[in-house]
Amino acid sequence: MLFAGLVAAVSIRAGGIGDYYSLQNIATPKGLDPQVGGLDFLPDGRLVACFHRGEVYTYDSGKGEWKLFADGLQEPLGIVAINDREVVVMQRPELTRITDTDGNGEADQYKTVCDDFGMTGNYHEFAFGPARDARGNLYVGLNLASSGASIRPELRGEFRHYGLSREGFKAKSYGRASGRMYTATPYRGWVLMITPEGEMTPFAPGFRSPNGLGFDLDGQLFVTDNQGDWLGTSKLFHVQRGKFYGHPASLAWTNEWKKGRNPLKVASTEFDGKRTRGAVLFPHGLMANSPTQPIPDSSGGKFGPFAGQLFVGEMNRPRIMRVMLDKVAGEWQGACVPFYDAAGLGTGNHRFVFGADGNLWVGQTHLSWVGGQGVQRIKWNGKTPMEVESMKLLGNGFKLTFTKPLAKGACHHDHFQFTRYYYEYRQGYGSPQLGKEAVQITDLKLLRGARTLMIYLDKLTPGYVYQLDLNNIVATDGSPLVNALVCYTLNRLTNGDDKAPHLVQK
Amino acid sequence: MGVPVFRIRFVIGLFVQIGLLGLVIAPALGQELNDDRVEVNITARAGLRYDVVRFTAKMGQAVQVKLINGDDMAHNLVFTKPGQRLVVATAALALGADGEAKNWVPDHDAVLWSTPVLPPGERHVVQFTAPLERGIYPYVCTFPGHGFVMYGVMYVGVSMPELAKDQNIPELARQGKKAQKQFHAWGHKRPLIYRIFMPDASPAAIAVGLEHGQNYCWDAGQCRLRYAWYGGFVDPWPVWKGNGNGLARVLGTRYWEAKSALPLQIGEVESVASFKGYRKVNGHPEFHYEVNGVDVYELIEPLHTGLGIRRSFRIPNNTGLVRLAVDSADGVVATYSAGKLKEGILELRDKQAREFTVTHQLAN
Repeated sequence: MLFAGLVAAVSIRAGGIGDYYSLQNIATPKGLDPQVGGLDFLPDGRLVACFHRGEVYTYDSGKGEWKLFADGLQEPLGIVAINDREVVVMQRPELTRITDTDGNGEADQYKTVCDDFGMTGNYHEFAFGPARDARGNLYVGLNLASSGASIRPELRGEFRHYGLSREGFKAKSYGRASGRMYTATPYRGWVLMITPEGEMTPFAPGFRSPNGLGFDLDGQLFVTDNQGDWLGTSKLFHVQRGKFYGHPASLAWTNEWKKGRNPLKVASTEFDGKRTRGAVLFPHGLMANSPTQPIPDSSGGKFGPFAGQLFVGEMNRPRIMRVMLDKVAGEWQGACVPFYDAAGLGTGNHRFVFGADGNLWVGQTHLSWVGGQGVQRIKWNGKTPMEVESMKLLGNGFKLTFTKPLAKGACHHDHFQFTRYYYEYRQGYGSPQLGKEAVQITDLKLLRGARTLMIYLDKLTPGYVYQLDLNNIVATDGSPLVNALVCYTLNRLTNGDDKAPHLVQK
Repeated sequence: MGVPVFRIRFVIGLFVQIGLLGLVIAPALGQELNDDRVEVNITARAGLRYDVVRFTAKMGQAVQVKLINGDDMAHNLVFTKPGQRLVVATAALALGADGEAKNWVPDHDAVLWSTPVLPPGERHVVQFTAPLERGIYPYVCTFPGHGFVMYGVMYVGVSMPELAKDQNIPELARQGKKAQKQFHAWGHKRPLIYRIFMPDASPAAIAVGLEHGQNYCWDAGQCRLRYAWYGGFVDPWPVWKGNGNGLARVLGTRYWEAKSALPLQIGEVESVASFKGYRKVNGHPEFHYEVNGVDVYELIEPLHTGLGIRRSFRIPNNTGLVRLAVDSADGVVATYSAGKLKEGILELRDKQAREFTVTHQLAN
C-alpha cells in the first residue's frame, strides 16, 4: 500500500515563506508522465487530476492511492468535478463530460459537451479551462496558432485567414504573412461560454495564450495571458462579455471585422482604443514570464491571512503569486506580489485547487517549455507571515495594509522605493519597460494600530506600473517582511481618469 | 565502470570466433555453432517481441531452437514457409475455441515446425533440419494477436541484409530498439483509445488499438472511419514528447482506407454530422454522432476469426434512406448484414437501417 510515507517533506530556507508554510511532494504512479493539466476535488474528498498523456486519475490522500478514472484524452488542460462519478475536461478537440455510469470506478462514457470551434492541427492551439460560474456555465480559452508551425492539410471548421490562402500556408515563408500568433479557424483567441447543455457563445476576443481562467469568490471571471506579440508583458484580465482584450488576430471572427482585412496592417492605435487593459500586469523577467491559473483563496482563513485574494501560478520560476485587487472608479485593477518562492516549490506551477482542509494543491507541467512536473501540497502552519496584505490607490498615493503591525521606525522614506514604467502596446514581441523613472515619496503616514501605511507620491499617472520595493521592513514581533516586491497596475485614477500619455483612449 | 570494457571484449571475441570459423554469413547474437549445428536461444520478452529476430542456417544444416518464455504472458514459436507468416497467424486466429487445444498452431501446409504454447518462465527445444531450398523462413508467435508484431526470420542460404534495411523483421527491431517505450503507469493493454494527432485525418482524430493486432483511426471531426491497419498500434511519441507538434506514427500495415469523404448519409440531401462522444462497450468505443439530427451509434470490434473489423451501426429512430460508402480495397472483402450495395454505396431504408453491420476483412 502507498501510504503517507511516500510524501516527503522538503527542507526549507529559513526567513522565507517556508517559515510559515510546509510543502509536500505527492508521489505519482510509476510510469505516469506527471505533467498536470488540471486539478479538482470530488465532493467525496478525493483529488482528481488529468495528465499530459490523456489520463485522469483520482487520488485518495488518506491512503496515498491513485486510481485510474479515464484515459485517452488529447492534452487535457483543465478539469472540473461535477460529482463523485463525473468530471468535465477541456481537451484539445472538445469539452468532454466523462462519467462512470456503472459505478465501477472507471469512466465508461465520454460525452462531447462542445466542439463548436476550429482546429488547424497547429501545436499551439491549446484549449484551457473550464472555469465554472455559479450557474454552471463553463468558460474555456482557445489559444491562437503559432507561426512556429503551419496548419495541417485537414482542418476542423471554416478556414479564414487575413493574409494567406490555404496554399499560402504550404509555402516555407508562411510565417511572415501569418502573423506570429494567428487564427485560421473559428474562435481561436477567444474565451467561450458554454452552458451545461452544450450551447456555446463566443464570449470575448483578444487573447493570445489564455492559460488560466478562474472566478473569484464574487463570481468575476479572471483570465491570464502570456507576454508576446501584442502583449508587452503578461497580464491578468477581468473578462466581461463582448470586450476585446488586445490581441487582434481573434477579431477576424467578429461580425464587425471586414472579411480579409489584415490586422497586421492596421495601426496599433486603432486596437489600442478598443481594448480593455489588463487589470494586473506581471512585469516580465521580474514577476512572471508565463502566468497560469488564477485561483481565489477559498479556505476561509485556513490557508493564512489572504482569504478571498487570488493566487496565480508562474511557469518559469518556483513561484506562486498573489494578486491584491482594487476596485477603482468601478473597474478592477491592482497589484501583484510573489507569494510562495522556492522553499521546495517546483517550477511549472500550472494548476491549483484548495482542499476542504485549506491546503493548496499544485500541479506542474512543462510541455517542453520551461516548467516542471508533479503534484505538491502546501499547508499553512498557523503562523502569520509579515506581508503586504492589501494595496489600495488613493487620490495622491497608496494605502498599504500589512498583515502585522510595523515595527517602530518603519514609517520612513528609506524603506520604500517607487519606480514606474509602462509597456508599449504593439505588434512586436513583448516590450521593454519604457518611461522608467523613480517616483518621489512626498509624505508617509502610519495609521493607528501600525498596520496601515499611507504613502503619498509626487506623480500618479494612468497607464503605468508602479513598482514598490520595500527594504528592511520588520513587524513588531520581529519577523521580517517575506515578499518585498509589489507591482501595482495603475489603469485609472480614483477620479476615473484613465488618460495615459502613451496610450490611445477609447 | 568495467562494463564498457567487458562489452568491447565480448564484441571482439565474437568477431574472432566468426573469423576462425571462416563464415561468410555473420551469425546473429544468441546463435552458436556446434559441430556444424546451429543452436539458437530465443527469449520471448515483454512488449510482444523475441529477443532474437533473425539468424542464419545453411541449407540442410541441423538447427536447434530453444524458446524461453521470459514474458508474463503465454507465447509459442512457429516456423512457416517463406512469405506465409500472416497466413499462418490468421489461420491460428480462425481456430477460435479450438485454438488452445491446438497450441494455436493451425493445420496448415505452411506450418513447418512449432513449439507448444509456453506459460511464463518455461522453455522448449525444437530440433529440425534446415530446408534444402534457399529462402527466408519466418518464425512467429501465433497466440491470438501476437503474430502481427512478434516474429523473426531464419535466413537459409541467403545472406542477411543490414539490420536497418531488413524488411523481414519487426519495425522496432529494425530501428535497433528493443521494445516500444512504456507510456503509461499500466502495461500493454488493448483495447486502447488515444485522441491524438494522426496522419491523414482531421486534427480531431481518434486512434483505437483492438485485440488481435487490429487498429483503426476514427475521425471525430468528420464522424467517420478513416483507415484500419494491423500490427502494432501507434507511436505517440512525436506528439507526446513535447508540445504536440507532431503526428503519431502508425505501426503496422494499412489495409483499408475510406475513399469517400462523406460520413454516413441520412436522407436525400448531403448530410452534416456532428460528434457527440462515445461510450465504452467492453472497452471498445461506441461512437455517437448526429446526422441531420438523427442519432447514429457505431461500435467497431475486431474479428475473432480472421483479420479485420466489424462495424455495428444503430440508428434507433431512423425513418429515411441511409447510405454508407463501403469502400473496397485490394484483398479486403466487405460484407454487410442488410441493405443493397450499389457502386460501393450500401443503401438501407427505414427499419432496415436501425441495426446493421459491415465488416472489412482481409482475404487470405
